[in-house]
Amino acid sequence: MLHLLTSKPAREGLAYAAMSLLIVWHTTAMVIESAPDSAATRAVRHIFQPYLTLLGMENNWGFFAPNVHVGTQFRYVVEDAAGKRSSFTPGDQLSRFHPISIWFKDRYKSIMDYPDAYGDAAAASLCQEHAALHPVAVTLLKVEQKGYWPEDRLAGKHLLDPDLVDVQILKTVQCQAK
Amino acid sequence: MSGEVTFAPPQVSLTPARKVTFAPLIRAWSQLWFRDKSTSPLEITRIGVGVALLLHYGIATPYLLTFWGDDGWVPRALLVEDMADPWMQSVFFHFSAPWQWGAFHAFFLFCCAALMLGWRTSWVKWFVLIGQISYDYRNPDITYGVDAILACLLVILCFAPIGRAMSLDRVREVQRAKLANLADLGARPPKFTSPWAFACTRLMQIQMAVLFFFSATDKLKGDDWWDGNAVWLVFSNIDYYNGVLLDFFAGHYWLVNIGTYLTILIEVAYPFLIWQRRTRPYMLAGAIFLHLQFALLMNLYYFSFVMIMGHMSFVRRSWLVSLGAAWKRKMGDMEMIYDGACGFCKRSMARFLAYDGLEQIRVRDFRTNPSPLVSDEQMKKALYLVLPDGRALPGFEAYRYVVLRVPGLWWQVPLFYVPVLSRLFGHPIYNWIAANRSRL
Repeated sequence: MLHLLTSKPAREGLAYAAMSLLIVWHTTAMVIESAPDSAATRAVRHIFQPYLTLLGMENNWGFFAPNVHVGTQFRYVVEDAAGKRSSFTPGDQLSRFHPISIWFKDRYKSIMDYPDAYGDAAAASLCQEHAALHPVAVTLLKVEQKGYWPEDRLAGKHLLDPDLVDVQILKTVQCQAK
Repeated sequence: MSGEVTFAPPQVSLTPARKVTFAPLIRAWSQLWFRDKSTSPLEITRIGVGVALLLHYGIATPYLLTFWGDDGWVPRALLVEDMADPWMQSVFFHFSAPWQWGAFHAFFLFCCAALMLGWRTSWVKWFVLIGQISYDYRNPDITYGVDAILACLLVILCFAPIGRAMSLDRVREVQRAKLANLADLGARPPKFTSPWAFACTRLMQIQMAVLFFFSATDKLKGDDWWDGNAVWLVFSNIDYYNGVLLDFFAGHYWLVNIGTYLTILIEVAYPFLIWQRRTRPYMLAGAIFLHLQFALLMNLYYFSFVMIMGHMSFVRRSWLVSLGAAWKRKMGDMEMIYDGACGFCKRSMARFLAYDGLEQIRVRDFRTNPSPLVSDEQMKKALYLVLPDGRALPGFEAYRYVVLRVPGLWWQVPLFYVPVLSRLFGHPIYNWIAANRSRL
């Protein structure tokens, strides 16, 4: 019996079976991961979830889907002791052609989406960056686009004109005195 | 799973009834998944993924601790709150001193370069996968779709027996074979093929098809795409703002509709038509066109390049063979004449020719097969390269001519083509080696 299991045809058969199983497993995982959430997929997804999570393969491949996300821009205002307020848009300093721009934009998105988690640290860093202004406080802002359509473009408007955006104050953080 | 696998579908010993049922299924399954093919499409993906990762993370080096350090953008305490899943693991969770980040990052970049070159591929690919996942989970805020795509491609590359072609591993294999048989410098080991290589290529193809399918179906759920406005909305988004395009589209909005529907059409058609022999070239062209638009118009270079590398899994070996043949015709015939009585010369030729994957260079030992164009007296002083037009280039000039025309030797181009300096130093160095070759 042992001879039968260790013979070349048996080893080849086992290898064939193992590879076939791996193929079925991985293919099923690929499909299940992206499949719509339904009772059927939920029933099996938990089986594949550890595999997908461990290997970093989780994604629903919904690029700009189902709708194109609304555009947002991070701004902040530095206020000095005299009450003078200076506004900055850090995204304007980034070159689109430089790979780091996408990382910094993601950073700004994190601050805008989770101001309670990231706002204090971001503001402290900005206080240091603008130390020459002798800041007393930094206010973090989120500028969210409203609709911008061809008629706006043809009328000469820019997509960040004041009437085409909503400005939301995220947080005001006091700068630590030195 | 990176070892050689040579097997035929199992010869199943079955009752006649079961043979009728199972044997055709097994044959069909083997035909679908386990054809004996080379790793060439996966090697192209390997090279591209290696280049992309090396550049991407290399550029991030000055920001290593800012992006992924404990005192950076995402403090460890904050991450612990958000990532309770025990399967989200990162080597960075186990680091405590900045030098550890630096050492890991340096080694990761080294492995990306090794993956690109196909050196010690069987283990570097696993380290690259672990590294990619570790960077992703240490700072999820700066990850996006491309990072998941890379993980998916790397997982399949880890399963696959890559490094057997278009790689330094293959060069080493060929060098070993030639050095073991210096009497026949033209010989080389057979090209690697395996059923498992084809199975992994299929997995990557299915990955790309699944990706496009769900990308398309997800889009169709949204009014922006269904109503034909998505292209306008993308370029009027501050992240991808393109004033020139908006000015043009504002006056010709029907182009926005066409662009939107064309995008969906390519993504919907791809998962179905990419498999057909006749439609594959067009679907590949369409997909690559789409990604080039993303790169040029939206500056998504990294994402687009990685996606194109995934699409390379659909490249047929026959196309590569045709491309290679076309290249050889364009570059023309090259015959290198060497001194077969010189051990150093034969060993050097063996190492040199191992990089000639397309076998563009023919060799001739002037001792046993004298050349009608180059005299024995000339040959005793230098190696010669004979070209189709009858020109014979000696020594350094011969190598200089060849390295530009043989893709496997392009890495030597910087040595041979520095203006003035290459020839200034190259000629004396070669002449010294040639004069003293019997002592080397």
